[in-house]
Amino acid sequence: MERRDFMLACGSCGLSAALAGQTLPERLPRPKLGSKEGGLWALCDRQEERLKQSPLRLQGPLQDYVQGVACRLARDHCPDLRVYVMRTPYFNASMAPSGMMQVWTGLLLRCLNEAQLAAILGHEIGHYLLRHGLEQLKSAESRSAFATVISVVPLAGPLVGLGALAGGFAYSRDHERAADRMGLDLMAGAGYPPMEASRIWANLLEELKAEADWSGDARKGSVLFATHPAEAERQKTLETLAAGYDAAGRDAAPGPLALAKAPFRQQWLEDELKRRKFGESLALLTRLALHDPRDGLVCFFLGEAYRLRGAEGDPERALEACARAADLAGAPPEVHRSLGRLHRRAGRPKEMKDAYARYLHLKPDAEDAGMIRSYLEEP
Amino acid sequence: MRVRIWIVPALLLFTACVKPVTWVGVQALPLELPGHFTVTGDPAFNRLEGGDPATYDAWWTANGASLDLLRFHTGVASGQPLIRSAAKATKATAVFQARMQPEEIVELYESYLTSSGSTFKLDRIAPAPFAGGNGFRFEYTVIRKADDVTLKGAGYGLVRKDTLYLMTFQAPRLHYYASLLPKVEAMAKTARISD
Repeated sequence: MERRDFMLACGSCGLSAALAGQTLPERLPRPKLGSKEGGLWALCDRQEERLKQSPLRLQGPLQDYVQGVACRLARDHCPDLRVYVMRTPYFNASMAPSGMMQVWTGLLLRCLNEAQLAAILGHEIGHYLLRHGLEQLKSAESRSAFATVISVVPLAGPLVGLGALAGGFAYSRDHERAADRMGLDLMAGAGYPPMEASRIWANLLEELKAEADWSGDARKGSVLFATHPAEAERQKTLETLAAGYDAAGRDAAPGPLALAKAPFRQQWLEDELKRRKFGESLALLTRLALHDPRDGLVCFFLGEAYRLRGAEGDPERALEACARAADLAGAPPEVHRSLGRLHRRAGRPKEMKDAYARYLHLKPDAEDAGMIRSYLEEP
Repeated sequence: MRVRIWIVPALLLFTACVKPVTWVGVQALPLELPGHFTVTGDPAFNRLEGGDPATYDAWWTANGASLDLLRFHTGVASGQPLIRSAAKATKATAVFQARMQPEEIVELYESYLTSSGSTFKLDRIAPAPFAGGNGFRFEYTVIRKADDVTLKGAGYGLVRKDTLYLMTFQAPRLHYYASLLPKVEAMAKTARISD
């Protein structure tokens, strides 16, 4: 297929999808290697090979689960989509025109049910079906940006580099809106309640506001990359559009997502707190604690967020949350280590030693056992 | 036109005043770093010279900073950012507090290393002598987000008179870490703080 025919096919299939709602375009064959699009596919393939080898890639049942949700949304296009779950604590997913999709763990952590995950995946699949990546890559700037993604090997650097790695494509706001619309169609077609799409953005807005209230700067190092339409506008638009779908008989499916995330939640929550965006993290953890007040792991990390933030009154809040978590199912042994640290700082040696001894009892081979034993030997 | 005439001498003056930041070889001699901290260097390493000590921590490397990196965060007073930077500190900045326990200092360092999306795993931390005091030593593993390389790291720390002295080394797990760690350990043993 020549480039012109290829682009016409792309444009018409996107149009048909947008107009027909549930009617998806036909699968697109891989472009010839000699064409401009074929060259771009080759670039995408190189990036995909890197993703496949990455130690940050999470495979196994979680990967299968997310791929399954993508397939449920994309239906006949499923064989063309390949989802890669990457351990990175930011809210991001990206889609290359070749069908390679990245989903970052900071996003999975924030989805309360499968429908919210489907909202994000549906949006990214919308970019793919509407061929937005190709349109973007027609410009020299975007090709350069994507080439940078592939060749970039900086030192541990600023978030600018991380933003480049997020996908390399900065879609226009019109593209983002069209993908949102397509995403809602795909959600509805797969039986999910489309209203969950606006809820996930409302939750992000809450986090951004909490960060602005705490640090005065919601953007620097934010969990959200600024490549999307203004979040408030987007949330309202999604809410309005979702109201047009029949809500009856739809299932947000919280159970399967919770099951898939369970083995990773502690690691992802640890990664979340290392960002030191305590306004965002506390809003997230408070939301998760409200979702399940008996969740010992979330209660522990709520305490950890206060302990690490260390503002006035935070040690007391941390102590209260950790003490509560210690009595709940799901709290890790580290909750006793945190209690030990808090008691030590407050000058309560007996309580400190009791908590540290409990920690070592539960985790005798802990990486910090040598340090903890030295505290137990203090007079 | 008069303005243009002054541009050339102004540029020459500017060039003469600004000292370029460059790598220079490390000598096997005691070298003083901020906070009256001295360490005897190993000639296998090079150090970055010319930066403002107020805004740059000392960086040393043997093969290039992406292959091995030895960092010194010394003379950090309580309430100061762990990492010296020209950027204005925010509430998210990792700030050292004298009351912190060694594991909490490592948590601060961890947040610095992971700010680019890299992962960090603490492998071990235990009390250890450092710079003439009862300090601590830790080991860690990092997966660098930028290039997916797995790095191993070792750090040595001491809090003395409410001031932090931290020396860290990291390099790719394959070859570089194991080949350079003995030299780093030997240098760590020469660390001293003078009053």
